[in-house]
Amino acid sequence: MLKRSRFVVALAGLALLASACGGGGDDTDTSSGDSAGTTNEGGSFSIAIGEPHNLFPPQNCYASECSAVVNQLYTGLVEMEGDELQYRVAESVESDDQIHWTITLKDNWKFHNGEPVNADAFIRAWNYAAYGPNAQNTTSFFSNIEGYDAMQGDNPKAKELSGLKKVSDYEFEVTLTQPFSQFPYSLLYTPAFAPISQDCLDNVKACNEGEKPLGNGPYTMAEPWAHNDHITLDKWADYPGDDAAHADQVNFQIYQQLETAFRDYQAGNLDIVSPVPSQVPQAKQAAGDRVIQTESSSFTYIGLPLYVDYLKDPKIRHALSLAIDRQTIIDNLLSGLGKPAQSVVSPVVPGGGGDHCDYCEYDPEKAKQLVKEAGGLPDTVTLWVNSGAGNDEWVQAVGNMWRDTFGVDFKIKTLQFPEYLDTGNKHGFTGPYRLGWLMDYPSMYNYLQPIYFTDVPNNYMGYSNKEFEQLVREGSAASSQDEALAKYTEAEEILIEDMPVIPMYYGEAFYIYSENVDNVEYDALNRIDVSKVTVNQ
Amino acid sequence: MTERPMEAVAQEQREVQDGPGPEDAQPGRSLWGDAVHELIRNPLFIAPLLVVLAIVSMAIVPQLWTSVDPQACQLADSKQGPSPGHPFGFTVYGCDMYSQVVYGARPDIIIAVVCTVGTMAIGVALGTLAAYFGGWVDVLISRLTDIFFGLPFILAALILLSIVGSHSIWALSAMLILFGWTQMTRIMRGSVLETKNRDYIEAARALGAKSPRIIFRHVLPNAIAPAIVISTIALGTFVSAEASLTYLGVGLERPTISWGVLISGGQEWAVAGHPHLLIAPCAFLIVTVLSFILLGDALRDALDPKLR
Amino acid sequence: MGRYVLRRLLQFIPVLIGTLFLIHYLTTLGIQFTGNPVRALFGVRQPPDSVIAAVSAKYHLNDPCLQQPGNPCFGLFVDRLASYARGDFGSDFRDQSVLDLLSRRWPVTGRLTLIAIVFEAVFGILLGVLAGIKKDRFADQGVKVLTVLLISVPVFVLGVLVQLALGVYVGNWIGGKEWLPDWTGEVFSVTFQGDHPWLSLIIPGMVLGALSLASIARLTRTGLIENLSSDYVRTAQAKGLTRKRVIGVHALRNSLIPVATYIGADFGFLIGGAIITEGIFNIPGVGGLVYQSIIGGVVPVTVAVVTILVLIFLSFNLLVDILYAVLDPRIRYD
Repeated sequence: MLKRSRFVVALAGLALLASACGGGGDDTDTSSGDSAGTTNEGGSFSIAIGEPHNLFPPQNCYASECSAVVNQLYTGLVEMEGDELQYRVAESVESDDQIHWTITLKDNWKFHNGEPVNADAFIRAWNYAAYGPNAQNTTSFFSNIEGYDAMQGDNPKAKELSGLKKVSDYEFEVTLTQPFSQFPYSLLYTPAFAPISQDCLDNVKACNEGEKPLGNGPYTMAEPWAHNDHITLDKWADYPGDDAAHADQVNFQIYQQLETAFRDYQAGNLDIVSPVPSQVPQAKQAAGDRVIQTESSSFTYIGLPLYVDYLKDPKIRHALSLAIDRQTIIDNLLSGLGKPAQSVVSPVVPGGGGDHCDYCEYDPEKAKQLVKEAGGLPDTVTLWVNSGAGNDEWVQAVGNMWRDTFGVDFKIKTLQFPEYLDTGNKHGFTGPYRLGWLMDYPSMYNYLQPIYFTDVPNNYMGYSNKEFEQLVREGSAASSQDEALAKYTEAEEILIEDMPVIPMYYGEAFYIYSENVDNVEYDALNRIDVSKVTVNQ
Repeated sequence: MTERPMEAVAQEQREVQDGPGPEDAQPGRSLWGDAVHELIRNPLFIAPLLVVLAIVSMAIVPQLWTSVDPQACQLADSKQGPSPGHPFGFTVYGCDMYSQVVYGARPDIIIAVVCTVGTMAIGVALGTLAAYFGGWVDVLISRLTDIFFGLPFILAALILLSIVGSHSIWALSAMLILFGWTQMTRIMRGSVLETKNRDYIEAARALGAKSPRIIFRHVLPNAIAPAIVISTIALGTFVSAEASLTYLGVGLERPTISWGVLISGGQEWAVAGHPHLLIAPCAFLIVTVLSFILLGDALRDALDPKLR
Repeated sequence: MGRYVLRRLLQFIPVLIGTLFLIHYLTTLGIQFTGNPVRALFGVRQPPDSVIAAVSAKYHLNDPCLQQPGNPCFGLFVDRLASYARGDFGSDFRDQSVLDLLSRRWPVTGRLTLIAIVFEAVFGILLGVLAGIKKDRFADQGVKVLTVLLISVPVFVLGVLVQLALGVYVGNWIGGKEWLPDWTGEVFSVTFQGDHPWLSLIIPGMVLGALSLASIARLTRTGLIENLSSDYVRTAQAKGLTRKRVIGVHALRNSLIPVATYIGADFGFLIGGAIITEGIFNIPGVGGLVYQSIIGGVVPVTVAVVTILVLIFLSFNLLVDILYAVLDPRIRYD
């Protein structure tokens, strides 16, 4: 709730995937050692999280707090292992034309109450999420399925997606509005694409207010959600998947501020916690080698509103970027939790992490030169930042660097998040603004389309480049992943040359864990693989 | 004539407490003259006065105190401890802490003084009116106080500051006054209620003195002590409030330099192993507040005839 | 006296309506100037406008007057009063009823403020008396320095330092000592423990009460010094009463009037302070609820919580005003 509470403002896109996917060529192995051979079953452990927005329906969950829990209660169609897509509830997800997708399900999955997880379970869930009046947070995931538009508005014409067709009990077909080669990857965002039991859908209110949603995941709710205090999950003994839980019980301890959680760890009350940057040196000392530090999917950038006069000149945009010493900011204000960004796609994504930027090195002389050529900057640069997420610190450091390099004054406008988004929507920023992106699913597409396409909600820059969009579309229509990545990369290069945003850094996740637990692994962004954790007894 | 009771009491007391002294009991001096005479010989007045003058001079002409440009920051020096030429070390942004603290005095002194004077003026006026006249005046003022008092300050601050669209020193001060006068009003009202029934007030009234005269000559001097005490405390709390608002994300616009900004920005790193980030700004704040409180005490002792 | 209480109760109605309107107007202005809070619900990924419209309609945020900056929206205000009269206090954006939210959180904050008030009153008065009777001596100066420390260190600094010192270090030290009773571990815990709702709130309550403690100590000291030099005290002394009795019965009783006023008025202030204290000690109380609802623009929660806050605050005020009469017989009500 306060200035440093990272939780609260962690809306945004979501973290999903297995980091061990190593797509960027980096070694992101984060396993806690070789203790896999001495696996212990049973026991219980605790993890710190923020108060989730909601747990049911899973389709209403679009933030890292709730997905941490929802991902234990629900198992999705697919999973990621290494950089390979693996099937979980799905037997296969296939298409010949990237428009018509056939999803076949395994027939042995059940909900916690015994209901079968069949084609109907998915179709009813997706229809529920796509139906406008239900106002589910993840509704935009379904907007590329045929029939979505007819379900919006005050009195929608349709209650069901015309693009969903049941073929048999365990097979259904999805028709998209345009080719989308990344569709199987997008299914990795489990909360959006999770199945819902008929029992719960008949009585959404009961499942929601009873605080005990019925899922099909490795864990079940042990007791109703104790708001702002804890959520306790029990292992589901009849779990049919091969990723069953090891520990009998996991306790999500809810914190208002992350830095408090580390102090509770110090006092021996918590097993797994993610300290804030200022606490990293102390945490490393306290935890010894029981530490995870690895790339996360987060990408932090400074948006440049292209409707502001002085930012219309690409030379100015390049100069502003050249005047930022990213590594020094990361070292001193983030305790090293990050890597200077040389482009706009995180290295955890296949095809991401490339160096496509000619203007992302720290080069104040060149920066001054460019500004001179462009005819100078205004006397005062206004930087915009949303309060409450601990971003003001590095933004002010950027301001200092610009002042030192260009001799301009700067001013920081701090707004609460609702007002901040609203200002962006209305094109009200009068200067560079900070924002970040966490992927929903590991695909370059998820970094390129949602921020830079003409008029998409996150495009507060007012950026529009038809050539770039065309290349992204070609990538989405490609018949092989290699071809898709090549097209996406071409698009990325155009984008970074235009520089509608200044790339700042790719984030790193940092967790420490107590001697009570082992096998703590970070599977892609922002997600500890809870079912793999073992308790030392 | 109506002053006789007070003077008599004061005189009597002087003898009781201090015994007759040649310097103290000079009969020709006025109350104010007495006070000044006493104050300049009190070390507990002179010392804090010097501190306050020093801080105020920092606020007005910071260049007197440091030649370092507070904006010359090297992020690479971030959070470094004290070193030669940098007695208090460096801030989170790698700026010289000493010059930041010196330049940071201005906003806080302005906020503290403006807010204290503002709340004091409103509070004393309304509180006295309410208690002295009673009846519908009291009802109106007291209930208005209740309405404002019930609102959480942070709510008002968040909304009003975003409407004003400015987080300047003046906007912040206005906000603190707008929602800070109620405390003073209530204290003052309570104090006047107690004073106005004292015998000497009754006596003055019986002798036909008019309300304004009674208020200014008799009620206020005798009732204002709690208000002065609270206001010297409030002086410090306004600076704390500025820091807290910054901590909650609605404080002064960056990159303004102020003690509150230094404290709220340094808090997180300070408790994680860099204590010097808090020590310097907090020490300045504490010494300043202590000086104001000592000044307030000495002033009140000197002005209050009963305590002689 | 009875008439006085009755009159105060009657005045309560316009105050309540006035406060409700002020808070309504502030939240309305908030929406008019800072935009529809529903947008922030969806974070960075905005759904189609029709979804925003549907959610806005559900929470009565689609009224056209919310688009007109400055419009006080009297219609909405009357609607709200009407639904309050029916006992309907609305719900937050997760469809949790405001009454449920409050019934979960009030007990926690209630305990916290009670501990804070008891702490600040007891220790504040004790320190004040000590400083008052030893005026200008070592004890007086010591109390002065202590209170200045409490006043000038902001609560978000004090709270975290106390949490580190008492929660982490003392707490860990206690953890290894089996001869200490169990409750010591609960008192010296880093965060609020739902299983020990009193013990684990003692330290946060003391942090919350610290600032007011300083004010109370100062007020008591001043009052005591003044009263000790007044006629009736000297008369009492002249009569041969012991110093203890003079201070305890006569001087202190009269010195406590501004203190009582202060404590009565302090309740509202404590709720404000609770916003920060609750955050630091992870206490699921009303402070956090108010802050979150303000930040998130959850108007029904903000208005309902503040209304109840005002109710409690006004009752305290009434109590204090009646206390005046008890403490100081010279104050007459007519």
